[in-house]
Amino acid sequence: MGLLFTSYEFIAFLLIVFAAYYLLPRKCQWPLLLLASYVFYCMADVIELIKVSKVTGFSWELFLSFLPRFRYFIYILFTTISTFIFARFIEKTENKKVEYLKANKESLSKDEKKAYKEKNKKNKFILILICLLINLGVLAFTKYTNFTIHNINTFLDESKAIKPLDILIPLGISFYTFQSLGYLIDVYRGKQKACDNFFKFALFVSFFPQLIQGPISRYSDLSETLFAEHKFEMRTVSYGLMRILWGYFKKMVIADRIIVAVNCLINNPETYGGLYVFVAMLFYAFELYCDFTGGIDITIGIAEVLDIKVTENFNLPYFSKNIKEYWNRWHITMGSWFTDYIFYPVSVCGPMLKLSKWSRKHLGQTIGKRVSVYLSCFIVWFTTGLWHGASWNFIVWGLMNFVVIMISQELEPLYRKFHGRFNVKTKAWYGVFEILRTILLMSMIRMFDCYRDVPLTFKMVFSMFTSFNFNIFADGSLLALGIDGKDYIVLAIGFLIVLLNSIYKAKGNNIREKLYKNPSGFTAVLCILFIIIIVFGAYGIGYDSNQFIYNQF
Amino acid sequence: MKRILTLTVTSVMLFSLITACSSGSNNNTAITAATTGNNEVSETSVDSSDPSAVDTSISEYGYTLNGIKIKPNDNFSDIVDSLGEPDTYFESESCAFQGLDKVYTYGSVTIKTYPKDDIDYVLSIEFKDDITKTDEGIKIGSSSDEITSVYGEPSASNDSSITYTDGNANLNFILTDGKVSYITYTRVE
Amino acid sequence: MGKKVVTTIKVISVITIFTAALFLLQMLLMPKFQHGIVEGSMIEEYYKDESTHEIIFIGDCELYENISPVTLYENFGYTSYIRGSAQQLPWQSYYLLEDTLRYETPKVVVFNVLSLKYDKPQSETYNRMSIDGMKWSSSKIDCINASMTEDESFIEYVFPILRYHDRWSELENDDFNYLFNKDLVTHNGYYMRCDVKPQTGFPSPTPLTDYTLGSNAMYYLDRMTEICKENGINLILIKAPTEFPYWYPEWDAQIVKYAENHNLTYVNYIPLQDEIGLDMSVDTYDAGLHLNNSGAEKFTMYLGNTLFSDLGLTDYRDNETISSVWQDKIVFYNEMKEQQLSELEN
Repeated sequence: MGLLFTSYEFIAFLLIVFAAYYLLPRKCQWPLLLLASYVFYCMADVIELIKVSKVTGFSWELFLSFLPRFRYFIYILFTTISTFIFARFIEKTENKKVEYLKANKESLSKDEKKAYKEKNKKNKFILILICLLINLGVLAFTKYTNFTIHNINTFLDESKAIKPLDILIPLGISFYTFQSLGYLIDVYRGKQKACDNFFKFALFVSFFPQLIQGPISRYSDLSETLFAEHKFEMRTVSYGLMRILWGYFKKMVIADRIIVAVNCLINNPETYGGLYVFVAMLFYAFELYCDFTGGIDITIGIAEVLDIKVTENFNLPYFSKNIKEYWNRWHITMGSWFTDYIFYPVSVCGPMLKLSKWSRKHLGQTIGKRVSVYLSCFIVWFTTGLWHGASWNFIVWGLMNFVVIMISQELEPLYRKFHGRFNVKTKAWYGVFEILRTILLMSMIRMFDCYRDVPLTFKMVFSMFTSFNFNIFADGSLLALGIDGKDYIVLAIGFLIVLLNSIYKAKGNNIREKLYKNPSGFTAVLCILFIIIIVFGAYGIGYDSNQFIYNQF
Repeated sequence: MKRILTLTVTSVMLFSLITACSSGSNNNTAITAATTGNNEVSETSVDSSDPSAVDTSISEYGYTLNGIKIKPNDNFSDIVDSLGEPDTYFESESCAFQGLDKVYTYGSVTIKTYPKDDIDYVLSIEFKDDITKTDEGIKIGSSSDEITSVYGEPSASNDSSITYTDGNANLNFILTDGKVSYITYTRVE
Repeated sequence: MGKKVVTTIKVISVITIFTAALFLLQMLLMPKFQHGIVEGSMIEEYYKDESTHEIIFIGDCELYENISPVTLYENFGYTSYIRGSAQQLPWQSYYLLEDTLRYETPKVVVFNVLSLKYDKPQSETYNRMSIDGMKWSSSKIDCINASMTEDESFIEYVFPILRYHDRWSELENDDFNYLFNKDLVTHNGYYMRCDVKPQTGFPSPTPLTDYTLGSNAMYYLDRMTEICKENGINLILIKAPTEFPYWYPEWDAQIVKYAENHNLTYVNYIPLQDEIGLDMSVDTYDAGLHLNNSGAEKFTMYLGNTLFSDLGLTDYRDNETISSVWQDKIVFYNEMKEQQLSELEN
């Protein structure tokens, strides 16, 4: 297992990496990161081993009993090696073609050239297919086998039920698999030269800040700075530190505090129905935003301290005016991955084109042209849901997004008419309305990934619209969700800070740049942010025991 | 026409979705139960063979008193009211005001609790005389053969005791001259 | 001045101010243990006491609530200090002894054996009360490592602000009043309680499947024995005269044997309640778990007359420098006693 960003061990690890990175000769920088990434990948288990051996004393048997835990190394190495080799093969095949055609420019007829190209293309296709299949196979096997077994079992008698397998889901496998396959497809498409240094490629796959939660980087983006030699630059490091602290602020002060209430609400649906569901929905939206963007801020900030540029993953998603826009601004790298590597190939693949042609002919232009788009979108959202987690909750969540996007697309002309008649589009309040509408809609869809199962989610959403227990806002019930008055004060102030920061950013300002103009002010903000996190962060023994209490209810 | 078609298409899809889920989701609570929100954010490796991933607070050895099954480490504050008035009650303050250790007796059953974070948890359940049987039918006076025929191979045993451990609870039989002289359910520290 | 020097000065001053701010904040946020739960102050108070002691008591509440060093001095002239804290576990006692030996070498060390029933770390709260007050040394580091429960981190002892940060919402006057300077709350480690709550009876003890005292606990008793031997200290084991928590005869037998094997004195005072003169309807403040002031004074007198009588301890009442130090202690002791008694009357 990897380390949590919020663990003391991770902070210590980070400090060591930062120091070594700038103290060692610059040639060693990227090899150091590779080493650090693999250390990061197994550190939690090593710490566990040390803890256990402290109690029981270290023994060879103990070490051996821990070995199976490190199975996940095999998975990430497998993905790294296979994509590296196949990408090279694909490129070689392509080069061979170019050389062959060049060498035999005169002697070959047009048809012969065409035949050779076809054959070459086919070879390349077989290569990429093998690599895709084995890697997706591993992903599917580790992540979805037990889900499939559970689903099959629902159709079987209890006596015939298949026993779930004992499978380890390697940490971050969805992220690194997608990142590697994106690279592979780019090489196949000729957009990307195959990497010729295995260790560099291994670093690209395992780069530790983004291993657990993304962003899903493109090789062309990341490699520019990842393997370069970097000089210590006060400005870059300060910027990075600021970003890291901002991430920790969102994660520890806000997300980790409010999650107690979120867990309390969603784990006890019998007790918390009606407007509690609404509260849960908003709290979860806030929690997820702070946790996810905070985590990404830490990731990008760490990379920034190392003078490495990682693609942005968010662009003020909660300021989107419709869902489509939202998905262009939330988890951007994932969205664009699905667009580039699933939506696009699916839309232009042979069967889809045939289907499109057929449906236009038989169903008329209006429906015909929609069939293929709908189907491609359906596939994208289905896979998006499935990728998020092996459960129906996520699949339904993905498809809900699909449904809402399609409906709003169909209603587009209606909207346009409405906007034409009432000139509201330019009004500020209408913009705010659109933003709130999008947030509420997205938050509602997201309920599917928090309640235990799909029927329960439907039940809870129904209860939200039918039972109006307004008294919970007045009688102090909200103070009994595991967070109390002081927590609400911190959350309210935190919310305000995040909101103001977002508005400021939305107006096109770069806060760090503005602050950096006055270096002592910048330092002061860094120090204050640090102290705020230390004091107001929801971490440590006190908070563990709070959660302990809540698990008991 | 166009709108009707759109509506039909979407509603058919919605319907198919819902039916697809309800047929599948009856039995998959085990996979999704752990969803506490952050799945969308990050992946953590889950190893089903890892004992730490299993909830160790679940223990099977417990005693049913007045219709309520009580196990060591249970939250006693929650159930104390449902058990009715105890016959006797004793409390002792732990050092530096860290809560009260409490002892309740109901008939010949004694329940001792320990405090943690303002909540009392069951420390032990004890039987004093042969009126009370364990849920599985063993009482004071039973022989060690009777115990093993009901509970199987013990987790630990010696001349004067037989212990069964499950999760974080022990079921102990104290033996005198080969017969059970005392029965306790205790927590595993 | 060169630009480099200016930058260096700037960096250093920023770091200094920042560290100072954090340190102040940490002092503010740490619990002060001045009223209510004063047990958290016990360990650190020792370092304020500059005189040396011929007797050091090491152990848990069965010492710091049951024995009064001031009484011992007033009546016998023996100087003593109790290094005890709430639920002080065997390893904590050992490391506190190690720590104490950095400052002085007593003639006698008295250890109360009740805590030997604990073989594993127990409670984070008690750990903090026993350890936070220790001055930094290798003993403290070892003590932390031996004491930590599963959820604890070493770094939270190094920077207690990481542990107490969420006290910002509970800050009270005490936190500001005692920011830099704390009052004494004990009398050479003795926690005075003058109130009375008679003993009425105890629940019957739970029979155990295994009465063997834990190997980890006994390991630290071994180390205590060793370190005392090395330093020529007379180690005495006692079991305080209170009956609850239950001290099983099987445990007692093990300690008797241990004392024999290691040539130590061990006295179990539970059967000696009558001889001591304890009347558990008036001599306890919490229904028999601990003694109150009258009980503690009786027990102390008994110890002075019996256990300590022929150990060659010095009567310091004639020593001017030392008796002036103790005179202050006696005044403080009597003042607190009077105050508590008058509060009880009202």
